[in-house]
Amino acid sequence: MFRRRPLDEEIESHLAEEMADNLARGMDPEAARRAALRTFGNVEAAKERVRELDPGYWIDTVWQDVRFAGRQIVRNRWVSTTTVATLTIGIAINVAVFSLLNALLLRPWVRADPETFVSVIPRFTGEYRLRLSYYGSVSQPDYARYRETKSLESLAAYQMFGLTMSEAVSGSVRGGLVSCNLFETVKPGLPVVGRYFSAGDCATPRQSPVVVLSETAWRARFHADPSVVGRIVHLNRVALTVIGVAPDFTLSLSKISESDGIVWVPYTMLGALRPSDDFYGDPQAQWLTLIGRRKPDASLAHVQEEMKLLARQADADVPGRVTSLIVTDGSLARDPEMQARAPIIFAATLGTTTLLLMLVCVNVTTLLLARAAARHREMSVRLSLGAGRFRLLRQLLTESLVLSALASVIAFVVAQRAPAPLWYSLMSGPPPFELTPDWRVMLYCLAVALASALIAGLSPAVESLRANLVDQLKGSGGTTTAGRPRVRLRSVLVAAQIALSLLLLVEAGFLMRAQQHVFSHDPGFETKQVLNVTLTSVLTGFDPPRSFYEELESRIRSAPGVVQTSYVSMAPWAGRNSTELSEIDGTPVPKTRDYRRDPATRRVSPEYFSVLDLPLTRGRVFTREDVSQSVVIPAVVSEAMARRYWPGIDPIGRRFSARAPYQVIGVTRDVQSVSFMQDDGPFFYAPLAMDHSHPIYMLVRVAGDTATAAAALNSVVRQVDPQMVATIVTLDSTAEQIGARLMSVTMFGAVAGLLALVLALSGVYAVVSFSISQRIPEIGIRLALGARPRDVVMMILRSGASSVCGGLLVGMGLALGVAAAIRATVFGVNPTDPMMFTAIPLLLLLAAVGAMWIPARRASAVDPVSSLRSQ
Amino acid sequence: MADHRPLPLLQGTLDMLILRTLILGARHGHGIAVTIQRSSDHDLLVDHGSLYPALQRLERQRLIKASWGTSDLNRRARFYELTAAGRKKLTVETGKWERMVRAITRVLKHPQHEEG
Repeated sequence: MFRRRPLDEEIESHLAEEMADNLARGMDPEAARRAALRTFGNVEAAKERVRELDPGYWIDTVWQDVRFAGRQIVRNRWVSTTTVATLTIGIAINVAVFSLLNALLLRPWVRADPETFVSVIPRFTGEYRLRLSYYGSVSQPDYARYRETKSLESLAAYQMFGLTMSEAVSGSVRGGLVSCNLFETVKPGLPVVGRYFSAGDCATPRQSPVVVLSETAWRARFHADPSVVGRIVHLNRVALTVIGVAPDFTLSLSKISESDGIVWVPYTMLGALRPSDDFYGDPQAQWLTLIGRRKPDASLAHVQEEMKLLARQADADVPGRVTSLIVTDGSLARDPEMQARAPIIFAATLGTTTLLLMLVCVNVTTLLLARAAARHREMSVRLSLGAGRFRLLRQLLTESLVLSALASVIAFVVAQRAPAPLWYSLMSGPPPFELTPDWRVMLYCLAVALASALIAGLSPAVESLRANLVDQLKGSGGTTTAGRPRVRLRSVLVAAQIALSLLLLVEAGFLMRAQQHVFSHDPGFETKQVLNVTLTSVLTGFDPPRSFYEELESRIRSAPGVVQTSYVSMAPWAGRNSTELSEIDGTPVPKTRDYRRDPATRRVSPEYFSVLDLPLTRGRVFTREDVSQSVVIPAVVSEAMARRYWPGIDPIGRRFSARAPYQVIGVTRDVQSVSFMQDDGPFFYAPLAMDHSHPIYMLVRVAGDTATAAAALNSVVRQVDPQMVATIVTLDSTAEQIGARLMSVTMFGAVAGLLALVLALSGVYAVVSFSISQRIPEIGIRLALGARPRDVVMMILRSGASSVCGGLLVGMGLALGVAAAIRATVFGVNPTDPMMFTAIPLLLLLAAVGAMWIPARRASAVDPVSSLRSQ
Repeated sequence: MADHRPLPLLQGTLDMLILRTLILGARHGHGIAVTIQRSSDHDLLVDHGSLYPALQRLERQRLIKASWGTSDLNRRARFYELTAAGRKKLTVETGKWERMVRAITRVLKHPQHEEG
């Protein structure tokens, strides 16, 4: 900028010198001046070239471009507003989804100083004796070794267990058994009331009966009473003193939907809480997950090196074991367990939103393209006055950049508010992590804005500059027909919009189909009138005496409204329990080596079949006498099992072995009871032998209102054992829960699909209107020469139909891929659903024809005379 | 056959010619243009407009430096002079140019061999 004036002066004096020389040669002053200018050439161009060499020039012209863009945007208010609105929708959806994924997967779930947080994840190989092992966990002696670290400020250990709390409303709570430095490692902030653990609380095993409540637990169970400190609570019947309340935080993803809060107990109390299963100091029990805080000067790699050294020392105490560990930033995406799944999650969610963004960009392209055509003449003038094409291209791109910058600022503000409602629509509890956007979200937003500006703006900008100088200046800007490349670009745009929207519509279609499946799903047995009583306390390591089960069963049977009851080893849809068969009718069967190929098994009371209304097709069900008397265990098999092992023969009376001998006494229909919406396949039921198992589930068939029955059953359970906690829901509610969770995904897909449809149709409409506006003179000539309006409409429809059909074909090809992906993630979907590949494309075709028909109709009504005169 | 219209400069030679001109002493832009034209017996056509980007470039490379002075017409003008680096550059460029000319001349004057 500061160079401009001296340069002017320098050139002026140059011209003066030249003029003086010319005068000296005897020219008259006017001729001398003109000759001087001629010798110099284009003064402005020369100045421009000097300025380009200046480092400040760049910033200078960028500012120029931005101002120019601003003027253009204001001048074309309508196009600009539509463009910004469309881009905002596309960018906001992307940024919102990304910030949710970012918070979930890319950041550790700690609020304070996430950058120093580390997660230590061990992997073990080798042959060594092991009592139990949780994923990514170490034994307490290992933990003691790792605490010798110098590169970490602190290293904490924890494991989450289900615990039974006598003072609780619903009974069970999430218990975090933690090392006493956990709070200084997680840094959740100061205690709400009271204090956190001190090192002394973890000094001696079983000797420190203290508990810290989470804020949610405190509010839910103690009505946020600040005098709770010092109170005694009972966990698994052990009395502990409340010493404080901690702000809420979560350490692991499992069961985040539980909104009852967490209680924190020193991990040294494991033996007191689970006397039958105390593995606290056992080197063969790997149960502690490690998290820590780096010292400011220690890098992750440094920490990892040190930890590996300590791991080698720990391995020396456990012959045969080899530990390989990694130290991560604590984000889910870096967890080896998640590493394979994280890209799939990203692809499934951001894939959809990216498709939508592309559609938005193509749509905006069509808008800007119409304007580019209107600008041909202006650009021709600029080009002929010596403006560089590159410089003009930059200027035009600046315009789309400014538009997308406007859009992304709005989108960012909107998107900041979106993730929380999005989370609540998927999960029942509050998100266990910070949702505020960080630098990653900003970077993503910036990248999306840049990409969309380039995608949307490049071809219109190039189009503006493709002006043919001579034609444009001659004044025949709108020629009778558009040039080939321009027509091709427009067809591609139409095809792309149709293909993208078809893709998103098919995705939405599949999701709705899946939704419909879940809601109308019939597993083959009764679900509405059956209550599932889960003895949660038994699940949490709190074993009642055998008499409890008998008493509970007889009391429940006599409760009002109860029709029938049955204990079962595993509730419907609770998961797979397989049994590997060794012999069929005395013939050994080869090992399957895959538990999913083995028959699934449930151990049930004889009444199970009547509780669930499970019809037998042959034979009989077992009786109480069968259970106590027979040496060979009677079994009821599914039809699928009968088909596999006894094809074409009557299975009744046949025998098979699986650790014990079984004899088939009945055959039931095939149902879906192992996993939700999946056929069970081979399956057999065996009697539940009460004397050596602690069943956790009881199914109760009730008559009348299920809610009242559930309440009645709850009080029966409490009467039998006041400490026993049960969760009672109808089987139907499981299906509803799964359906509700899928519902929000479906809604998301449906909104995306609908948006895609609107965008595509408006895009097609815009392209066709625009191409007609270019062809008005041609249409005028045709009409003047005797073409009927119908012919004009047909001509326009024909010219658009090929690109629409092309788009449909490409879209269907891509949709096959989407179908395969959906099949892998959502159940009950037929990837070759004819509905998806006939009805949706057909509807889209009709809609597209409609969108073309409106402007075509208008075009056929032009007045030939006036359209030709306007040439 | 004989064409006496001045020749436009070969690509890239303007910088060298400016440096050569300045070895005689400081000059302003117009002076440089006139000197080049005159010393080439008006066979070379200097596009005055392209002089200034070239001067700017050379100045940024610190091959020449500029200062304000007064021209013969008593106007303010920028006078350019060679720096030590400019002098060295000129020697190098002149050497290269002479080799190039010799080489091209050799090729052009080479008696045609029959291709075998």
